[in-house]
Amino acid sequence: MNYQAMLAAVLLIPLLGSLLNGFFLRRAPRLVTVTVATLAIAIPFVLACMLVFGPIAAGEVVRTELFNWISVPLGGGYLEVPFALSLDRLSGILLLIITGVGSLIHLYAGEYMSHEEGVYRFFAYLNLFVFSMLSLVLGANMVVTFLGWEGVGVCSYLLIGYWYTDEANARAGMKAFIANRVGDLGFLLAMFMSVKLFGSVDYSAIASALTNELAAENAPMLTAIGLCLLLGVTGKSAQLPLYIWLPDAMAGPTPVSALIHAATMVTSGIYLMTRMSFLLVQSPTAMTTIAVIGAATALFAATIGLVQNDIKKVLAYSTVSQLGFMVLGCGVGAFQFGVAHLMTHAFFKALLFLGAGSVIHAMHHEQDIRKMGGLIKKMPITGWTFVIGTLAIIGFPGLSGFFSKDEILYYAWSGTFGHPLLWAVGACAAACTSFYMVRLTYLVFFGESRVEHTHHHGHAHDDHHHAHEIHENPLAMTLPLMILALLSVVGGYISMPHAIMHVLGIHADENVITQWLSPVLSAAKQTMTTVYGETHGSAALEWGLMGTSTLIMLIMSGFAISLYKVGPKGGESIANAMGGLYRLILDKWRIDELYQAAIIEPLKKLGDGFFKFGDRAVIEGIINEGPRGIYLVTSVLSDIQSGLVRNYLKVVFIAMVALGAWILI
Amino acid sequence: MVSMISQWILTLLIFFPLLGAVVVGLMKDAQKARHVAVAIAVLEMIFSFHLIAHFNVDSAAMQFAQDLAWLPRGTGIRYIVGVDGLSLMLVLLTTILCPLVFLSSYSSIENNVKSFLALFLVLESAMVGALVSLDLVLFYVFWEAMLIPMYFIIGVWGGKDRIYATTKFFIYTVVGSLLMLVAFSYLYYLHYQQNGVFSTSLIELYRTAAGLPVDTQIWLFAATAVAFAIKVPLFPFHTWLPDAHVQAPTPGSVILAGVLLKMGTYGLMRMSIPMFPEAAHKAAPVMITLSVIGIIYGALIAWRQTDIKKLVAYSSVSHLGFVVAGMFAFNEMGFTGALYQMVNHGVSTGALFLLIGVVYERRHTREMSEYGGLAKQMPWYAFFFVVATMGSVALPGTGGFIGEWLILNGLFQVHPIMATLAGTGVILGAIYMLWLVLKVVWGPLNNEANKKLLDCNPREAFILGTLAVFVFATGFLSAPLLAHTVPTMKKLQESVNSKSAYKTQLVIPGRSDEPMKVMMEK
Repeated sequence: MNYQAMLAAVLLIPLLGSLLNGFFLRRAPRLVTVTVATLAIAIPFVLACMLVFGPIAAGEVVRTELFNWISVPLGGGYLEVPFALSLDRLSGILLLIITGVGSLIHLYAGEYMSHEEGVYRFFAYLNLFVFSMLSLVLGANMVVTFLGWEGVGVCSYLLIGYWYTDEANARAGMKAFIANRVGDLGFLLAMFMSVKLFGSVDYSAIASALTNELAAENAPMLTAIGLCLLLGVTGKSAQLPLYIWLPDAMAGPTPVSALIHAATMVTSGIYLMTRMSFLLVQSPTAMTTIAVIGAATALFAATIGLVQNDIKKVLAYSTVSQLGFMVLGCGVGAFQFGVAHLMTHAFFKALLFLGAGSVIHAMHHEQDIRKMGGLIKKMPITGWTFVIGTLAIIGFPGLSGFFSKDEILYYAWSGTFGHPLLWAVGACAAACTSFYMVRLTYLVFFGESRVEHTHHHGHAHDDHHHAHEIHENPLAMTLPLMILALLSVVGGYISMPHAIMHVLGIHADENVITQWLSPVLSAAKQTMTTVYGETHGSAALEWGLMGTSTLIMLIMSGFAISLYKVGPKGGESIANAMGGLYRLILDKWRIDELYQAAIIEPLKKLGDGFFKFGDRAVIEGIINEGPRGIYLVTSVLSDIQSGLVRNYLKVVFIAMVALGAWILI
Repeated sequence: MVSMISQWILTLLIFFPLLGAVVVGLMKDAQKARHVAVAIAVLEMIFSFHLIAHFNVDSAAMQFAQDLAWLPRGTGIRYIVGVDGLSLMLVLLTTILCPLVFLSSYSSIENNVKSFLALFLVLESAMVGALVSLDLVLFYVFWEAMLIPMYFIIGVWGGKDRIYATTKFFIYTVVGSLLMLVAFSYLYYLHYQQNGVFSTSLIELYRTAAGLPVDTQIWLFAATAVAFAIKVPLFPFHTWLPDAHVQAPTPGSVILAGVLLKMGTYGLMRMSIPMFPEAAHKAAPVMITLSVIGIIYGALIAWRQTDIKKLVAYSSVSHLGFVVAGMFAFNEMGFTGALYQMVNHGVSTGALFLLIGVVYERRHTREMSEYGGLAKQMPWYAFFFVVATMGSVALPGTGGFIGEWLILNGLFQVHPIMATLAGTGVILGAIYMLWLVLKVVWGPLNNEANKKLLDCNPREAFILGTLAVFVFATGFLSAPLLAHTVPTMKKLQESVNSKSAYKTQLVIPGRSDEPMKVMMEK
């Protein structure tokens, strides 16, 4: 099989899996459904490995065109938009994460969803999601990427609302779709501007058309493209001000949260910015805005994470915050570390979500961490892998998050578009991360068990053996946890800081991720060095920042443990001291309420006003006089209800008079 | 043989349903008449495939043309028909949608079945006729002929307030028609004044009209544009539409949204813009502004409706705003997108009205609050509902996306601000459509009356399934489909922007014209 065909197969097999489960295997046994769905991701993973470690590692780009999609005349020539796929080193990394982590999550979900009826629907959606996600990263032009971009939005909508009989879930899905749509408009406008400026939406065509002269002449337009792309990113990657959908998205089944709302879909924005890096770096305004949005989101979401009591909500805000770090990395020009953090985050956050799912599954859908505690004894694999995930995310030295996050923070200070203030905001966010993650882990897995022995509605038959029946889940669920834990430990070594490489005696110029992505980022790097000059980081600064981060992490973790040693009550004294501010944070800064009052309600009123005043009073009022006039002219004034045939004849009469007049002319 | 068929195919397509109407009218058994009507519509559809099979993709000329004497020679009124890339798409939309509509009438129409079927077949004749006419009088005859069956379809088989709605529909449209008639008459007179002979041939009048002084052009453009804008309907001429849709029976709503509204946008693209290019340029800012207002205005009102049919009716106001905005961008992307969106709107909105019909027949209510949680009871119904919704919100992979993308892209190249404002319609569209889905399909199944609802029967599933296939087929096969329209759209763009007459010619099959040879070799 040649590489082109393999690439096409990688994309199409998940689609096939989705169609099989969605249409033909509706009545199939659960095992068949799960096997088909998992294989539909696992086979592409194998193919992806063959491709990425074969031609892609050797420096090739595999490109294939499936069919001609859009072709319209444009200014003498044609705007050609083929349905084309392109696999390079950037999409290669994403491809491995999507299919690799995706396979593990499918395996896990087969067990997690075992009590559900009609799981074919769940797996059809999940495979369709992977198909969309793959088109997003493999698309050779912006339109194919946009197909995936909106496709993942729809699958997310369907999966968040999977348990649709509860309207709240369906509403959460709707909210996600609409918030994403706002961002999608940004993406659309960026495409239109690319057509205007370059006459193309193909990434490589745009890259070769964008010369420094062209950039200088069209600086405002490039800034506009950058900001429009950023709008798209804030929607999909849940950044300020459009992040509001992601916490609500936790209404979906937990494997969905792990795959879509942690590891893959929400990182699309980082992919897109890296893909368009050559263009973004032309606009300092766009880059600075990206960095500021990222840093602000990282800190803002982390503060909310401090006080949440729902295990999934903490992880959701943590995801928003971590995505903020990645966006910050891109914004300061360190795209490769945005991608590195994307990857390590995919490992440890998928691990944490799956661990949370394991707990929720064992506790029969209990998600309140105040009702947990001491679970590590009953669920050792879940517990210890969760601890590894936590250590990874808080940046414990040697684990994956340590490397990727520290590189971002280092560049936030010293990168082309960096600034010490950006570092400071990032460091504060990291401090919050350490606190809320340790708080979460401690309250769930350590300390006294606070599991209630009360009876649950609808579970009357098994309530008496609820509490002491909490036990570890089967291998299908724990195996993915163990694999992800391993990756969370070692995944970070691809972005090892220079300083450490030097100490370890590794004599490479660049760390693995920088080398790997250098063909993708060379244009951006060249622009940054020629236009903005060399950056001025130093080993001393790197060591200093690394030390500071580690110190902050240790202090905040220790603080969290000392506070929550006594259980959830430990935080009350601080909460009371903070008073109104605490309640404001607990209410998530009341941003949802703000949007409701400032945007949704006025729009509703506008719609009502248009209908009642515009349509009914003004337009009907004016135009209905017209028909009345006609009645007068024909002097057959009568009640409008007078009957069908008469009305009809009246009008025909008018028409005939007019026709007669015409013939006479 | 092929050229013989090609020569008569359009005439066949026009008069075959009319003949069918007579046959159906003479039949005794209503049930058999239904089958016959479906058979006629299916045959008509198969006949229309001849057009696709033998259409010369590289030509912008009027193909399969026929030019016959009709009225006395001195009047200059002739029977001229032909299709180009613009009308081809819409003829096919009509002939493909009609069989599905006849199938849907099996359950939605129970009284006076034969009259209904006969009227509907007359309507199909008139629609095809209006789309292929290249003579203004012929066009006008078919244009008015569309009105009569629709008037009765709403007035006889409609809902409670059908008389009010159908009268309103009729009066609005007739006011427009009269304006159009006046404009055509004046143009007819001017042509005589300039050339000494009468003619109603569109091809000749293109030349006359484009050569008129700007002032005259503006008046004539305004008269025809208002006529077509009412039909579209463009804001602020839209208020007849919600009433007509709400009262019309399901097949009426489907064909109204699916084809009849497109007659307005077709008229703008076939007549107003190419006939009066200078006036069109002057009017473009106004038309685009009205369209963009319509997009936002229609969407916001749609969101606040509780009657499902009214919601979808207002969504049409919003969607057709996109179509008009696109064509007044005066570039190929805008024109192509507008044409493609006419087809897509026909498919997805047609599907939505059929879906409303399915539950209306079971529950006899269109109130959103009466539904909810239907996915539990009617999973296939929910599936089709979501697919139609995705088509309506222009999700990539559906035809709606290609249409909207081209429209907004085309508009953005010339009016970035307007395109951005129109783009908010993409967000608002998601809001009202997902709101509808939330209230009808998702949520708990609380209403006792809904707990016994049956899922789609095979007939309904076939109709909806066919449309679902079209929603996606148009989304991926856009390049080969749009290839048929490229020369026409290109020529339209060139003539409008050079402000010169739209030059096209008839290609009469069997005559050894140059374009025909190309066609035969294929």
